[in-house]
Amino acid sequence: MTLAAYQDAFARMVLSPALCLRARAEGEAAFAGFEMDVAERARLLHIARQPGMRITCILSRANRLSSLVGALPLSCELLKPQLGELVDRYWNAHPMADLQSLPAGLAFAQYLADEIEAGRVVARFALDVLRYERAWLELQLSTHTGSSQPGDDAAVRELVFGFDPTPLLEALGAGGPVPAMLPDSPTTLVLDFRSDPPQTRMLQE
Amino acid sequence: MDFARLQSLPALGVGLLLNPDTLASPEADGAYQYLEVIPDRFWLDGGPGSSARYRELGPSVAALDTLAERVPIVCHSIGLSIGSASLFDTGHVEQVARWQRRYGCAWHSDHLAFSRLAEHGVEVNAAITLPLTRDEASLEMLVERVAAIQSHIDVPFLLENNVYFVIPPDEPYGEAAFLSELCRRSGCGLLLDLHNLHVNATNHGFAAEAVLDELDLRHVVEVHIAGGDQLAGFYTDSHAGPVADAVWPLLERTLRAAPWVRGVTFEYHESYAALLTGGGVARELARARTLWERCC
Repeated sequence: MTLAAYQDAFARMVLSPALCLRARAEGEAAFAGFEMDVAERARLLHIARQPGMRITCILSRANRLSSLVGALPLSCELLKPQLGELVDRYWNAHPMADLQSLPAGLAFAQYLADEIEAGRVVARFALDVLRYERAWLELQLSTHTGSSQPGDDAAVRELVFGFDPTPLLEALGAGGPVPAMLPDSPTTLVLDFRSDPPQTRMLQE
Repeated sequence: MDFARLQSLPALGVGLLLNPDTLASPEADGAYQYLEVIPDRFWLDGGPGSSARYRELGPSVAALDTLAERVPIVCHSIGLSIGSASLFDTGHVEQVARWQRRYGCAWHSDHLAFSRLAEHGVEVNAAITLPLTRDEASLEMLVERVAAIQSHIDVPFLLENNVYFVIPPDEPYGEAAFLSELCRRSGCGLLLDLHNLHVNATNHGFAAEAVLDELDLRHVVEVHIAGGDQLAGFYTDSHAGPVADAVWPLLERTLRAAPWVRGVTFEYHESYAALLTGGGVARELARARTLWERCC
């Protein structure tokens, strides 16, 4: 079915501007892996050369990125210097089928955790911030889909840190840099989804 | 198209696309006569083939239930991707049909485009709606799919004209001819997004009025109005704040010429709410309502 191949190639150009640039440089040879007929190849090449491809790629990227940043704003802020390269690697390995923030954010959080633990992503406090946001998303998912109810203990999560993360989370929330020093005192944060809106508080010793 | 069926639809008037800002801005209450919702935002979709595929987001659905007691609801879904040659998601159609019945929506709509692709069992989303080629192959596929959708949904099904930044060359149909022919052959109605039309006219250098003159406006059931902004040298359909100035005369022209328009929906994106502070949403709705009352 060549129409499906044509649409596939079109979408892949949008998702990966590299294919679009290759088509501009190499012509129809760039579409060698797609089983299109002659007319479809010519049509797609014509599209690749139109200035509108650039804005199409920009909007697609912005839509995908906003799902991830919306779900993991603090982690994305912390990783901002390497985020562009990181999401390119992520999307190459895991093309997104679902743009909804909750599932998209949880999937990206898992990828980030794997990358950090494997040492391929290095950033001070990245795993701590990710752990906090991931717990937030998991609680949101369980309370919003009814697997736990506001009022259940399952709607509460305790996170233990080796330091007080409050200044770190506040700085990232304000779009600021990671503080040079953090209070060196073990701290337990409580994410409480029993109330609306949910609350984060420090557990008093 | 069964025009008698369109004639029998209730005239809802002027509505608002529901977004999180709308819920937080009671100032717009009373300024709209119906709410349009994107049902896909009220559930998590595990994807075709997954068990218990749709998990509804309880608090959001509860808020919608409350609103539905006060105003009519119309659903405008985004997840169908009717133009995808590699997939046709009947599970999605069944889910939106359930929602249509649940809220008693007078019609249901989605977008005339493709964004989802399935290759070797793996689904990919282009994260933007892409244009179909306006040719016989597309028409044949769409006619078949509209028939399948209409067999599930008890009310008229509408397709919305899409924004496109690129144009497939050598298309046998122009935009107006393709939309009119699609409606004629398939029996679907048209959700005419006047801002999308304005975006395309601006970026591709044609007159939006000429499209309206050529289009068979008897198929238009609902109209969208919105604003946009510039990005990377293009004018986009970002739903940025107030309705674009150029859209208002297009709305008046449409309302005067389209015999069975049943609703005009104002869309804005919540991230641009700051451009509508101080009663801006109510102001846009009131202006649309003035035109509605004058022309319909």
